[in-house]
Amino acid sequence: MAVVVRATRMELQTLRKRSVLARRGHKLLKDKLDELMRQFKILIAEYMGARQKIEGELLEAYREFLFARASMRREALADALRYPGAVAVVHGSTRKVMNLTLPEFDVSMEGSIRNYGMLDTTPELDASLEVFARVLPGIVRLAGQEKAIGILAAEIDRTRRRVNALEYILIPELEEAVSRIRLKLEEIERGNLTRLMKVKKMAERKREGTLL
Amino acid sequence: MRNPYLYPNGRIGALEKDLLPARTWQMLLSAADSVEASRLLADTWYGRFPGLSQCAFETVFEAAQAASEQELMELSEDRALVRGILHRRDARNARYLWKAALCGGNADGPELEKPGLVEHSLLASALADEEARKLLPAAMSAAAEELSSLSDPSPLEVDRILDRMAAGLELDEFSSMGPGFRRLLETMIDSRNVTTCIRIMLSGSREDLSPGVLLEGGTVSRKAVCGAALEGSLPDFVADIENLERLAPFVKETLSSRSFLELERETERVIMEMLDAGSFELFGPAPLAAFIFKKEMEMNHLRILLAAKAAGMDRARLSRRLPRG
Repeated sequence: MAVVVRATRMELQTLRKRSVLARRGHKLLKDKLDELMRQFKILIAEYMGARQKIEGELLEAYREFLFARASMRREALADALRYPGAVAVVHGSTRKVMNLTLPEFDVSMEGSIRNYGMLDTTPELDASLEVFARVLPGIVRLAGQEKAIGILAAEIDRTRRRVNALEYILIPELEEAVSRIRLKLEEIERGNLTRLMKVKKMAERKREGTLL
Repeated sequence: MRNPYLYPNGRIGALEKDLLPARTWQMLLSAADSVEASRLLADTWYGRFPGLSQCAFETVFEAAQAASEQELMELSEDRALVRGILHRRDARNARYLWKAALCGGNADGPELEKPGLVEHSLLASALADEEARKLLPAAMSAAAEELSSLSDPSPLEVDRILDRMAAGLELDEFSSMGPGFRRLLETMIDSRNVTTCIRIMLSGSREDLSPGVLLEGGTVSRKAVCGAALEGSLPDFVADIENLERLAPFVKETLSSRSFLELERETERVIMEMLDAGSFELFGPAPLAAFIFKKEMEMNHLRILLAAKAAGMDRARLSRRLPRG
């Protein structure tokens, strides 16, 4: 939608100032978008690497757990896992990237993972629990990274919409308004000039008639 | 005088034909998935139990286990055999109930198996009630006594006492079945002790390794096994244990690779060979008990195979764990 304005010099000056401001804002937002994209790519690369590693380890743990579950009685497995001997403490902190607050999580484990007897349980259960305990901090860190990626993605989306709004809507509209006012002012200028020339000619004709 | 085990042992001879032959195991191992495996199982003894076509394997195995135990108890005229079979279930239920009572756990009660010879209510009251304890078998009563004297025990402490109780109960009831069967039980205890040592060593808590955490009743003393493990000479030690000689390289391999698959497979293979060799008293309760052990191992292996097939595990990895085929 075109900007509706009065065709005055003052308005022209205001619109020119707004246009300069919009261009400067567009450049800043574009730079912010580029930096956000760079940070996003770094985070994605870290996330993908960590995820692949954890998925590989989890696959191995599930394979061991499959044997444990199959070779143990259901009740015995439930009994072995009913009394956890280890406590996982999640520590949360934040870091700032481009004025965005991104979460960071870390886990510390206290106690022994194996808190059951040896007769009714299998070594595969030990092996799978050991891997699960090893990958738990990674999984929690991954959750933090995932959240950070989500926050960055939302900010990128918001910034891109602002950049596009400035680039494709506000700046062209302001330029068009400036151009229209300029044309209108030029037209008014030309009209005034023509009028003055006509008045001058009429005045000259009147003076010539008086002399004759 | 007529031997009371003439008919039962003849019947067991016939029932052994229901055990899956090597060819069936090969076919099961080659099955593409658990559905195909269940179709193959439907043509065997397991086909008589409902649930196989719906792949409800746990239901099938529970029914098969109950049927095998019931048949043997009807055949057996030996009270020790019946007690031995059913008290194993009681020992497991005692563990679930007593551990929940002493260590808390979550708000729901523990999952229990169906009772053997001791009702759940009697087991539940045995920790607090001295009169109830007197009604339990000696090993269970002693364990309940020991547990009730502990103040705020950890699940690990409770489990150690209950592990000893379960192994002692098994040994008490089954050891009267002749030297052949006793030898089998001793070998099983030896192998469990060796595995326990390796598990503790690999968990990084060498300080927990003491004779007290091992089971009594093996061919070698608990102190000797423990000493060998702490010295780092467990493979050489295992090479000198009768019947377990061939586990020595697998013990070494497990200690270096931290994977128990091959060791578990070979241990079960040793037990299966001892059961198949049948060096028990021919007309007595031992072949009946051996049959129950064989059936249990077979079902355990079927559970592993079907779980692996359902998860799409490759045959090579399955063969590392399964002592069949």
